[in-house]
Amino acid sequence: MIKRLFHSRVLQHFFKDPLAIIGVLILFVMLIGAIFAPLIAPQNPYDPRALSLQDSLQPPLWMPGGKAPFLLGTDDQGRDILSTILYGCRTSFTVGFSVVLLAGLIGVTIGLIAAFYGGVLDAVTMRVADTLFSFSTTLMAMLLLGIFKGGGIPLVILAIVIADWVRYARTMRGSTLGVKQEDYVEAARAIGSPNLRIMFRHILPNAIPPILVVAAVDFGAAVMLEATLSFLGVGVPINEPSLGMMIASGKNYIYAGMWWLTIFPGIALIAIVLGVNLLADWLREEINPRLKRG
Amino acid sequence: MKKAVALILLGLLVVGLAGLVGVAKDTIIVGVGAPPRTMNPYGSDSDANLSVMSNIFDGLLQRDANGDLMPALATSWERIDALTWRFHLRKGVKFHNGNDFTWEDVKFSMERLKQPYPVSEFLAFGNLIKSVEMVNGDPWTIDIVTTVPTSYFDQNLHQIFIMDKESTENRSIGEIGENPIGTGAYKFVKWVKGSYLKLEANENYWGGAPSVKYAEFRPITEPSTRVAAISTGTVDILQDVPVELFNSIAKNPSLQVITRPARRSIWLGLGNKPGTPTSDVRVRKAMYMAINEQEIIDKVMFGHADLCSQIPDPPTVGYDASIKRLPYDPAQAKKLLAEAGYPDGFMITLTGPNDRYVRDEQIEQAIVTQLSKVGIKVTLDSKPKAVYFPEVDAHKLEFYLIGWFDGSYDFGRSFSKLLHSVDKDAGLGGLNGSGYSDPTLDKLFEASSGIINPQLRGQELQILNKVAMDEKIAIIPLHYQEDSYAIYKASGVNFTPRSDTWVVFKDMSIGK
Repeated sequence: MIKRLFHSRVLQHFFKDPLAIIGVLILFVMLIGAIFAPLIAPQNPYDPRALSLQDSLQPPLWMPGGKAPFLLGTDDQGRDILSTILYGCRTSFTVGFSVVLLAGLIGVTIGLIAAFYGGVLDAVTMRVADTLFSFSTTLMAMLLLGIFKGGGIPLVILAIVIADWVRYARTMRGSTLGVKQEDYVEAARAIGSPNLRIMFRHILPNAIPPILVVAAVDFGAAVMLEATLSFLGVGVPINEPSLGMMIASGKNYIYAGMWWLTIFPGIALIAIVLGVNLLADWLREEINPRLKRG
Repeated sequence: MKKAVALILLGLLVVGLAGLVGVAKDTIIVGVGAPPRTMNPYGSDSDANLSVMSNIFDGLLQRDANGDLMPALATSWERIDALTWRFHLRKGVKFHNGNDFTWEDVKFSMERLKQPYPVSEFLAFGNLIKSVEMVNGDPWTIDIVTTVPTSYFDQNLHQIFIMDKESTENRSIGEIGENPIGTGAYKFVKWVKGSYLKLEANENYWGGAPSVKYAEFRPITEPSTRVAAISTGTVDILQDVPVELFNSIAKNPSLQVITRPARRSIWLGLGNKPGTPTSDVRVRKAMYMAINEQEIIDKVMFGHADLCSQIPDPPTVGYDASIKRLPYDPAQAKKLLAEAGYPDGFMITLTGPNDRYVRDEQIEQAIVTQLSKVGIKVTLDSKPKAVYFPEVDAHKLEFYLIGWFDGSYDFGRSFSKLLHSVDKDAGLGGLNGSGYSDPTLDKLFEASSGIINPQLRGQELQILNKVAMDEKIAIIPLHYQEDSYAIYKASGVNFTPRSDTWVVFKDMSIGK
């Protein structure tokens, strides 16, 4: 069913939606930049041998005093802002994809099992989920990073996953409860299919579309959360790239008129999140035709 | 509805009139970088705390803005012999709670220094004190006897504040840490932790009532918030102008910026455990020569720092002007590394605070960059001071950034804390972050501590300093920080910065 969906109708609709195309284009450019950062970036800003303090705080190339090859200027350690953004995007995408994958896997599994078996199991897991959900994810992630400090990117991912899987679990449970009532599930049960087969062959594929929307929105949220945590100084360590940290360390220079340290990474962060959200919007409308614009 | 409008208008009128009449300014608010940790005068030996305490409490002695030692609760003092110091106490002084200041308070206070944290962070100094006794039954003359000859004993008394025996004994340590009772020029009014500390002039102060009625410390850590606070006049004086924003503040016509060379040196500690690369003096030299300090001053400190070649600053006993920095010479550094058997460099971890000194984290990153040019691969471990300093106390670091200025103007005391081999029981090497140990230096120090003649002792300390810096490369010196203050001109505050960076309100005034 999913296959058919994606092959015909969806693609046609996609090319009729300019916002979705813009979103995908932005994401594509950023993703290419991030993946090939070591090849395209003029400098590896996290190799101290490549840096020189003499190049610190240079304005962007088009401003008076700008210096090649620093297109977007440099920061207080002489790191090229453009290169640092490219490397920072790698972190953003790594965190975004990992969180969606891990949190999705955990959340979907728990939601599916809870809804399928129901009863006490459902009640307990969903109350735990409700409790977790009542905390803001930022707070949860900060708490976890505070307890297990100094772990780098993997720990940041883990903290966000722990704070985040609930979204998937709740959505999955909801859509599973709906699909569970369908005739084909009853039929499968009637011919004596084992529970696991019913869950993963019959229910999962049909209950998954809403999860795709959640995943797309969550990707943006995870990227933003990593930036927030790094901005606050509890996320990625200072010797690893992060857009949030660039914004944080640059903000003190705004009063000194050196806006490029903060504004450019800020734009990059906005671009990623905007691209993802445009895509998510389109996806939501596609999956739920009732929301279609007139 | 009409009534409400009328009331609001009336209210605005009253406010407007009050504004026209104008209220004479009677409060000075100072924006400081670090909040005080406690109101217990022995609870913290950080300058942030001592600065606050010096307004509420008095020591037996005090220092003026230039750093010269002056009488306070003692009117005069002399060294009787190697161990004995005699003080003549000031009569007629009262604590803020009305109690009289007596010699018993001095004795009580000196003994209180010996109680471990949270009572006292001055354990090492407290343990130097053997006894405090009246002389010939005169309660206004006392002898303080030390356990070992301590040449700098009086030089430290400006930061040992005298507490009221009666009220201190009757209150819990928690209560003492919240509500200080001293003899100082200002009385405690209110402390909202992390937000502000308000003080009120002590009209009965022995040195005369201070001219400014109310004083307020307001800790603001975020650089851009600090600049906003002084630019709008929310604070009258801002201590430590962020160097990256110095020019934009200096250009602001409503602000005046004052700087003075600071006493604090910033330097890199370096372990010498046998078997580590840094136990080889050639490696130490190479690391020293690979650091381009002038570049750090220009690019990281924005010119607001001075080159330094040793730990003490010029007014400190033991400072030696003949000690010169090793030149910046990466080629020579590489050669030295190759000679020592590390042609491809080695790996080392640099640990340092990220919220203690001016631009500390940026300096650390610059060091990493500069050392990488000669092949030394440095891993940076930059962390908040609350996490960092306990690690210094544990003596386990390889390579660390730290700053130091000696409140007692004595390199002997500095050495005993910073570089002497760690000996917990003797109170030596307490802040020796890497457990650096050199028997030659220890012996030179021990030789100096027995000398009573200040001049000879000073010469001995200079020798110790020179050997440590020139021969042993005991540390890698970076720079002296620059103290800076911004004043909101319209506030009319008269303020002279002090050499010890303390904010002392009794020295300030408002108006012409």
